Amino acid sequence: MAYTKKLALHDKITIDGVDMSNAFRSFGQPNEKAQVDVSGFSVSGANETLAGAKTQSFEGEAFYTKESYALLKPLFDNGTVFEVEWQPDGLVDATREVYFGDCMMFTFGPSVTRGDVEVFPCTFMAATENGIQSSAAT
Amino acid sequence: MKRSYARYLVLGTRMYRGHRPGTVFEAALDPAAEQRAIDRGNIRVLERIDPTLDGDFQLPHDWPPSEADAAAIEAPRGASLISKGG
Repeated sequence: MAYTKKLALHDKITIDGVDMSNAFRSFGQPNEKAQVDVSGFSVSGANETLAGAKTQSFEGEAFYTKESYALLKPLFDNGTVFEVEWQPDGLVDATREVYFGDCMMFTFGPSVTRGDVEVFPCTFMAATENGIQSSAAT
Repeated sequence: MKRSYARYLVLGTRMYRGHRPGTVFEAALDPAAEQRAIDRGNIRVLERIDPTLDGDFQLPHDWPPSEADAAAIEAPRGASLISKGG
């Protein structure tokens, strides 16, 4: 049976409570666990690995405008912990899963190129022990 | 810091926490998040909501009952246990 396929067009992105869906053109939520080598001597010589600390973030590319500056720059400057939510297809489908977490910005570096669309990368790192969670919409 | 309930009006042209501009919503926001949203012009506080009980509320004079009265109306101790024999 075929799986559903969709284009990413209607994602809902909320930063510190404010809808910034239209200010981003890409968004994602990478998770990574450290791979800790716990190998000992063995006949096979194969490595043994344990999963270590988990690093979570939201990453995206935002349009560099005075609006995105006004929202994001103070959050970066003040070291604010703020809520980030991402709901794939959420602008048209409220039943989709939601990724959410309290985050901080550790980098803010707009950079533009003549003639190109003004965009800049945004990374929101999980800031509390709760990390970034996901849940099915209720 | 303690959260307090309030009624908010969404300002500007962006949705705030899922509420459309021009709409009113009630919530108990984190005080720092609320202040940032106010400073940015996302919301305005219309009213603080601090629920209180008016009047003097007390238990009835005969409540709680004395031990003697309670013993007369309550089931014997162990009456609700289910025997092992089923």
